[in-house]
Amino acid sequence: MPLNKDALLQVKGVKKYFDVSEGIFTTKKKYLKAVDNVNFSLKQGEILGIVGESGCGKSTLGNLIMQLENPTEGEIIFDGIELSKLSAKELRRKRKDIQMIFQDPYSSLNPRMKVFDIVAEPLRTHKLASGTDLKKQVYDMLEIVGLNNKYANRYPHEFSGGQRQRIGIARALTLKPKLIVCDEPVSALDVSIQAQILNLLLKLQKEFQLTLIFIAHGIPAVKYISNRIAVMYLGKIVEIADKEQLLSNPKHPYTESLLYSVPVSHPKLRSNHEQSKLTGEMPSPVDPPPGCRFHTRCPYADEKCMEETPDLIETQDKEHYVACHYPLYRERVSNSDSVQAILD
Amino acid sequence: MKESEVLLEVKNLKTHFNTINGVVPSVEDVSFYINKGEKVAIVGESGSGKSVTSLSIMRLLSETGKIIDGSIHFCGRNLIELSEKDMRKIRGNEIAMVFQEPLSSLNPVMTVGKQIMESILLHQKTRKQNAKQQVIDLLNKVGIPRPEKVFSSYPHLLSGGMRQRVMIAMALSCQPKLIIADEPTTALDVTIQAQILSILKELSEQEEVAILLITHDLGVVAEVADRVIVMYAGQVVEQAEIFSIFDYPKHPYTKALLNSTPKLDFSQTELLSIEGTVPSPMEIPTGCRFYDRCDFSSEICKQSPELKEITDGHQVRCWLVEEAIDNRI
Ligand SMILES: Nc1ncnc2c1ncn2[C@@H]1O[C@H](COP(=O)(O)OP(=O)(O)OP(=O)(O)O)[C@@H](O)[C@H]1O
Ligand SMILES: Nc1ncnc2c1ncn2[C@@H]1O[C@H](COP(=O)(O)OP(=O)(O)OP(=O)(O)O)[C@@H](O)[C@H]1O
Ligand code: SF4
Ligand code: SF4
Ligand SMILES: [Mg+2]
Ligand SMILES: [Mg+2]
Repeated sequence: MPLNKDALLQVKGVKKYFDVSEGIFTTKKKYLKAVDNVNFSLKQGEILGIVGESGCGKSTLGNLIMQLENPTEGEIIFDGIELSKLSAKELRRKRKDIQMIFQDPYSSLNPRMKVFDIVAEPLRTHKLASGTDLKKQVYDMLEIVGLNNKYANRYPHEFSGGQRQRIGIARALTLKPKLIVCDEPVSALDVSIQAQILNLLLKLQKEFQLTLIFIAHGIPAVKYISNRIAVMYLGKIVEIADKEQLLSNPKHPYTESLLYSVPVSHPKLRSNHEQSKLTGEMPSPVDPPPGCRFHTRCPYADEKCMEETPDLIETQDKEHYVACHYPLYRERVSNSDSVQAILD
Repeated sequence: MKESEVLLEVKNLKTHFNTINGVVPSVEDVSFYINKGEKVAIVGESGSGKSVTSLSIMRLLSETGKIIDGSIHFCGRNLIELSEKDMRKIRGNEIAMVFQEPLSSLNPVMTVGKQIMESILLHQKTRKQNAKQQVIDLLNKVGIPRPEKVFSSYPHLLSGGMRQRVMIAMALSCQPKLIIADEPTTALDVTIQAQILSILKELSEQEEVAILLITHDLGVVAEVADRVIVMYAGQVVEQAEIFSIFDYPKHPYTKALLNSTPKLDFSQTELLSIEGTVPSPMEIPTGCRFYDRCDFSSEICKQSPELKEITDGHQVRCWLVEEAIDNRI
């Protein structure tokens, strides 16, 4: 897939293989291919959603972008600079432009630090503010994420899950990053709180022209927040396109059945596509199936699929990329218009 | 509704926990019923009392938990008054439970097949050889490919989805009249969730087993339930047939919950959120428990509203709805 030169982030041929050889005397190494040749680019101000079943490599990809893991192969170019070529010191400086928000805000916040210090810490570490200026910046940030100043002297355990996520967001924002990788930021939260956090992220994205990567299991939430969606399967992006395009015209058989697995939002839509739902489970990433990795579960698989790995290529529709020998060209039944027709 | 069709009827259930920090009133005045073969969902956010309600029915509360008041009638008998011995018979034979994390309820050192077989031998008069065939049939029924192989596997070697299938097979092994499934798919991928939900629906239709499905996900409710019970902060706030809940929700909380759920098959330009958080059971407001977060609250809401029937089979706990009805009359 062609990479955009003026993109804020470019991920080029990135692989992450974990060594999972058993025993120390084995000569033959075994690798778990968590991320296997991923390519995409991200424009400034974009929100990219990443979806896929558990273990498909979403978090590993996020960690690679965050430089929390080193890629086995490939390049991550941020703001025109290849991150792996930077010295430790340069990387530290660059890193403040990329921040992360995690699923479990509790384990990512230091329990012995007060909220004020949690939010102030990045500013102190990078020597960006002190004294009254620091205080003002922290208070402003708390206000921006919807936390009352009076909470500044409390500890994380005194807060609810949603409030803790706000603290995590405030901390991620203090350094005015360009890119935020959100790894399942709302998965652990109640529905009503989820909506609060999704709306907060959208508001902040506009206010600070942030670029977001939003990783999540919950496809409806990803639909709500993203501009573009990437679908991963066994370490690979199998489809990536504009949100509306991907949801109404999924071209990869995996995307299609994944979408049909999502619970309906109204009982009238129940069991319309029982037969289109996905059967079986995702195979192990240690010995992934040869050829197209989805062939063991794909209703359209033939011999070619078992032998040749399909590349992620652009389809007739511009900016709609799919990795399948036989992409689908049909509209998904339950896009908004047809659903409206059923309901009327 | 014919009285004879009712399988389970919970009336004014009140369950409290005694903790070092004081009494936790987890469930206050919960009433609902389940008909034979019916699929009923309890939906509510974390801490609303869904699990405590189901554990109360099974009488599986931890030592600090106590049913303070109310009745739980199952097939005509009040479960609260049964001896532990009689209750054990109900648990094994007539009501089965499926939890979110099946590993905690499976024996790690016994093969899956043997565990289900033991359960069959315990509850039915049958020969060992027949029991084995029954287990294979059950594993087949819950959609397990190559059931002979899974029969001799240990639980931890199975995937989360397979384990949940095994749990359902185990629940079925005693041919129960009611299965209580507490968030059975919350830990699973949507793809596996869809498979498990289809199995539960199929079973309830084929075997005429009633299902009490506990979930926080309105999508799961929309997929499965015939009737819905909405809980908030330890109380039932609305209860109705599935289409009434989705088409004509009455309680402000039910409406807000529907509006704050992201939807795949509708365009949503804005997701409405409910401000604030669910009150913890130690700091529940007097009066309506949704008061702090409700857009429609008024003076009268400082008094507790009761769960009232507004139309046939549709019950709501809200002053607003009550007043609307009074005005109409
Ligand atoms: N440090 C590690 N060592 C070995 N294997 C790993 C490591 N980290 C991740 N993996 C494996 O890599 C694969 C991808 O994991 P990853 O956490 O990226 O998946 P994910 O898509 O984020 O899943 P989830 O939705 O469950 O969070 C999994 O099979 C996982 O077990
Ligand atoms: N053993 C216990 N001791 C003290 N309090 C308890 C105990 N079990 C539950 N509670 C409290 O009772 C309330 C209701 O809990 P319950 O587990 O029924 O909620 P739930 O609706 O199942 O929530 P979730 O969606 O998180 O599972 C909660 O506030 C909980 O903290
Ligand atoms: S390449 Fe073949 S097996 Fe893979 S998704 Fe396409 S049709 Fe299915
Ligand atoms: S009783 Fe009052 S506060 Fe409670 S839900 Fe109804 S209108 Fe809102
Ligand atoms: Mg992950
Ligand atoms: Mg629970």
